[in-house]
Amino acid sequence: MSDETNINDERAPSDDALRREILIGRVIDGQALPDDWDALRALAERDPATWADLNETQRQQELLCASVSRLCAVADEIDIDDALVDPEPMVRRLRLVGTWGGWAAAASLALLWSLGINPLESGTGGQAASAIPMGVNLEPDDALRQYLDSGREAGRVIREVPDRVVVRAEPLNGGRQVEVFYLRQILERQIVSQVYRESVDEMGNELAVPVRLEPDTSGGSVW
Amino acid sequence: MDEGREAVGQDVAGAIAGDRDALRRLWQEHRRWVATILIAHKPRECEVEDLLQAVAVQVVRKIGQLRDAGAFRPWLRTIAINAARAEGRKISRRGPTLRLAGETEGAANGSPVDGADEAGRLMELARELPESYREPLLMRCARGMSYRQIGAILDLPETTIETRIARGRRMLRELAGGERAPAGAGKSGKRPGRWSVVV
Repeated sequence: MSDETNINDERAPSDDALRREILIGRVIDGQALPDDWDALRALAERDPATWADLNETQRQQELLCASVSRLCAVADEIDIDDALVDPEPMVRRLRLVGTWGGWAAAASLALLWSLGINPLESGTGGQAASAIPMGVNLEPDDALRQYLDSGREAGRVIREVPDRVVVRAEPLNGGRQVEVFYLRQILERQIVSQVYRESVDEMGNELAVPVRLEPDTSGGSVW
Repeated sequence: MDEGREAVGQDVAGAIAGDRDALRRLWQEHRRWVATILIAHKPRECEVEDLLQAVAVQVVRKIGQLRDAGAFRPWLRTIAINAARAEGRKISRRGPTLRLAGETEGAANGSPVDGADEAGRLMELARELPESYREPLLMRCARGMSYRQIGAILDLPETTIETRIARGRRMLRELAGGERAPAGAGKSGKRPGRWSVVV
């Protein structure tokens, strides 16, 4: 009975506490038999905290399941069809996301879009930002959330990178508070037909040099 | 239940043979479950969505190599864990980044969870559990998988799964209890917001 051995190993400190947890688990999972209920009541008579632990564990289980469900909801958006047709574009997209995860490296290559948009003037909003109705007083967080939502719907915004980069932190009010300056990073996507590399000619004038697009064969960048 | 298992088995066999519709059905049936595995194993900084895409690509590429249709779920779990660990290695090579500690993953994803949300904080605590307890505990949350189903995937006896889930729940309760009333802390029980370096 290798199973028995395994069980005994797992339950090595076979104390009442573990027995109690297993009984609580069976109740929570709807697996408790009449004998389990009798055993739990007997334990609770000796230790009334058993009922409080049952209640708290039940509550936590519901919260944890809600959290798992919420985090897993994104899975419904992930279809395998893209990968079925041609996995390469999806792989390339993932590489790009990975590259932007180490976003500082990308700063070495400045690009100008050929869409008539000056990225220096468009900020992070671009076309998606225009979806926010004018004249509506939104709190900054609400406005940003609306931009992210409408940007996602339009296919422009991929996501906000969770890490925020702290630029400066200064103590305030004698150290009771800290003023923090940080960067928020939002990954956007646009389809372009031509990209340019910023350069400078011998006279010091800024130039936009067309970059030749190459198929990705290196396993690295698309450039 | 048996009919469902049989249908999955047929789809696995079909997918191995190159039936794209069968593979599509399999993915739709299992993608939330894969997400749960990823949540249990992924580095904190990674997005479930990105990892799911990586797993989808691997499934398409490698399904034809699966020899035993009955081993589909353990095989899928291995792909998910490998994807999570590969991303973890990338992050460790990427060097230090700064993140707002105390911010829950749900909040970072733009969901209505904020730093004070108890469910989000409980998930953060669940990440601190040992892997052998964390994974079955979270799998149990995924559409209420039975001990037997979890045991089949992890290749462990049902009773071992029951014990691990029970221990995991006790640890989580103790962690949450410790968080609610830390020594010297106020009555709010919330972890203080802080900036930290995550490597």
